[in-house]
Amino acid sequence: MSFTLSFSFSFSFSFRGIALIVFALVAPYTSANKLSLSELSQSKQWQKLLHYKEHDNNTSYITSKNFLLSSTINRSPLDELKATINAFMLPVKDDSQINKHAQCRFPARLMLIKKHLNLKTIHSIPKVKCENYQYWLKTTGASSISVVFASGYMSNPASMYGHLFIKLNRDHNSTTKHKTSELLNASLNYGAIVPNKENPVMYVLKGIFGNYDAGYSDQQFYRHQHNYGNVELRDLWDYKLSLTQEDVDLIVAHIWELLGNKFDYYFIDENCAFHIAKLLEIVLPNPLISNNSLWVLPSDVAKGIVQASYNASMLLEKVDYIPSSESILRDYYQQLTVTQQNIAQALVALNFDFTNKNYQQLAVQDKKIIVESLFQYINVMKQKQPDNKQLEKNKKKLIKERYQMPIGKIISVQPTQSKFPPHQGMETSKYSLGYASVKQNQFLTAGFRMTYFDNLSMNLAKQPFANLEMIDIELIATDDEIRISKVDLIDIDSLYIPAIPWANGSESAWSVRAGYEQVNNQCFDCGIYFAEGDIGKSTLYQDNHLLYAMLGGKIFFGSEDDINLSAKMGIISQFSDRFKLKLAVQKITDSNFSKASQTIWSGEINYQIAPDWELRFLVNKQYSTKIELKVNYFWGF
Amino acid sequence: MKKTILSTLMIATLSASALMPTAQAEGTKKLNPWHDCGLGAMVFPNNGVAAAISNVIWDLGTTAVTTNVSSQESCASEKAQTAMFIKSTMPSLEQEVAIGEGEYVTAMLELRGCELESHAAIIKAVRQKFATQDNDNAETLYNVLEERISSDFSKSCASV
Repeated sequence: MSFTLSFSFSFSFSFRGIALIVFALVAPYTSANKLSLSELSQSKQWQKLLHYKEHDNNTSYITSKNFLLSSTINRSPLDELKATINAFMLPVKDDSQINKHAQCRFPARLMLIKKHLNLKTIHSIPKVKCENYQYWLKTTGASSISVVFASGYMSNPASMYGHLFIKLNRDHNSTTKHKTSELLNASLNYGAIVPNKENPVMYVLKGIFGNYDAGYSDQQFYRHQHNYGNVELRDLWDYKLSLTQEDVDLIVAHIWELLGNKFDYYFIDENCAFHIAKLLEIVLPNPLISNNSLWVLPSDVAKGIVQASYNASMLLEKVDYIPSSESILRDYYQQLTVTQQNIAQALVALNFDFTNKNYQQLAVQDKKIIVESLFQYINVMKQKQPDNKQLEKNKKKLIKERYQMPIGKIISVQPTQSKFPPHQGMETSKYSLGYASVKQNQFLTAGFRMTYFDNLSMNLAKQPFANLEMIDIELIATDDEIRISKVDLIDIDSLYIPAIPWANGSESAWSVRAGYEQVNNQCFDCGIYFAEGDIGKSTLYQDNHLLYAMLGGKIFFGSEDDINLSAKMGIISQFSDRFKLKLAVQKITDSNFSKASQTIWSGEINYQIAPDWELRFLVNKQYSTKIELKVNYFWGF
Repeated sequence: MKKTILSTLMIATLSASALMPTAQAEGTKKLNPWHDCGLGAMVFPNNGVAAAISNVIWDLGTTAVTTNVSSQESCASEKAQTAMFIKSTMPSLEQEVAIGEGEYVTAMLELRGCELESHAAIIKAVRQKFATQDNDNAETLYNVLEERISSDFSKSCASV
């Protein structure tokens, strides 16, 4: 057995040191219950610690040059194992450089090597006191691990699918008298390293095509709860895992190894969800997401966690809901009596003039309920209207008023029946097959949608009446040819944005769509490339029926070039857990009003046959009438 | 050398606090995180995108924000981390101080190294004092907290 000694950092070492290393490496490693060098290097756990790619065994996802210690060309897992042992054996001569010693940089590798190789029979690895790592380890103090899902954020294209990060939970049952707050738990985030004030278009393009570096960062959980929950108004879901302490320790040690290292960032597949999954898979027998995934969504990883087994049991211990400020506001509003709601409304209208007679007549308990609810109102409005200086003044009045009352919180969030964790959502990719008729001609249709959901699916864990589809392709086949009837690159509707309680606004709606489609139902060779947008109002009736009306425009070129203006209105109704209907009418005219306006009628019925299956019936009248019956099948990696 | 000086300061501070708990603050140069750790100049992003990509990584001591005279060790101390916590969560914290309880208040006192049993009394004292301040910003809250701890709760909270 021989290999090259290689070191990525400079330490002086003596002849005795070399002799020990050589002796150690030529001596047999195997014994009862231990692995040979080769066996350990081929183990999945070792290769996962190196973040080697599944189909490219000698290449790591980590691009930082000093993450791999081997200087060999191949950098095989065995080369890296040998180089790591070499580096661990090096004596420490310079205390000021101690935190750069391999044992201090790679504690998870050290744990694995100590556990699986029989090094003690030849020479024990020298003990190195790693001050920085020990300090970090003490600070994190993890006894369990959670994966936290931040729900989708429609204001940022990179966040619409949600986000995942890790939370390292400290033991709440310890006998220590402090540091048990959830907010002070350590957390690990993964994301692209984006320059300040990046152009949004470049942000999207660079994210998709891999032009950003990415990395992990560690922050206390309060930053995430504050940023996601209070600033971006996104609900959080905490998936707590039932890992053994030994595996928790290994993951925590590996997190230390990852901090400061860089990856390539790809929004579609090598994103936060992918690398959070890969990190957890170090201790899991099976992948959380398929290694063949062409795209990875945070909700897919959430599903993987719920379905995963671990130590003959389930990986998931529990799921906790952490509501955003907006969700808290809506919850509090529902808890208030009508009288309390009305008095709060009057206070808002009067810029928080607490001399209001109706308010002054209330008991202290009622006043506290109103003031604490209005705190949430102010929090939400400050995010919706960041330039409104009056809100800050009103908050000061509110705080001053609260100081007049006794200590003690009086209202808290009630368990919700209307929020569903992301793993309960439908699978996100779709195949469809159908049969269509246009002017007595019959066709087969087929479709593929990459992600994510549409507004007729019975998808519990999504924003109600929202549509978020990307790469949605529909084909139509005649006897002798197959044509593309449409390719939606993006199709986003947010048809129901509920009004903020006590704010003067009303429910609103918007939509954006871009891609390629046939200009009407009559022609299958009249493709246009288009982008369109609409904005308007909506109103909800009895929670199940949404009416909306929007004005918008569409720019297109191809078989026809023009700019259209349009007005559309529609209704979406849910009649049961399986049955939903959408009716819409749209009036279109060109921008010069030079042509006769055109009216498009459409209707669509969805019936959910099984959890992953839908039957849809569609009618669309645009010059001629197209009738289609199709089956949708939903799937995920 | 830096560590030696810091250790000496810590021992001296601890010794002084054991003998003269109320005089300690005046006898030793206190850490001012707003000036010594650059908190005063730090701007926290108030929109989601900027917050998500912020590179400020300070909480866990892996990176220290040091712009003035302090060392990484002192800016990673309980006092400095409490100051950072107050600065970055003030909108939630000021509400909870007014209410007199809450998860952010609890986290602040835990971060400051105060025993759980003393939390209610400390926040009551802080609430009383903070309500009378002309300035109600994060730095004022931090100063009120430190003043209350050093005057009445030094035995219940960490001394550094």
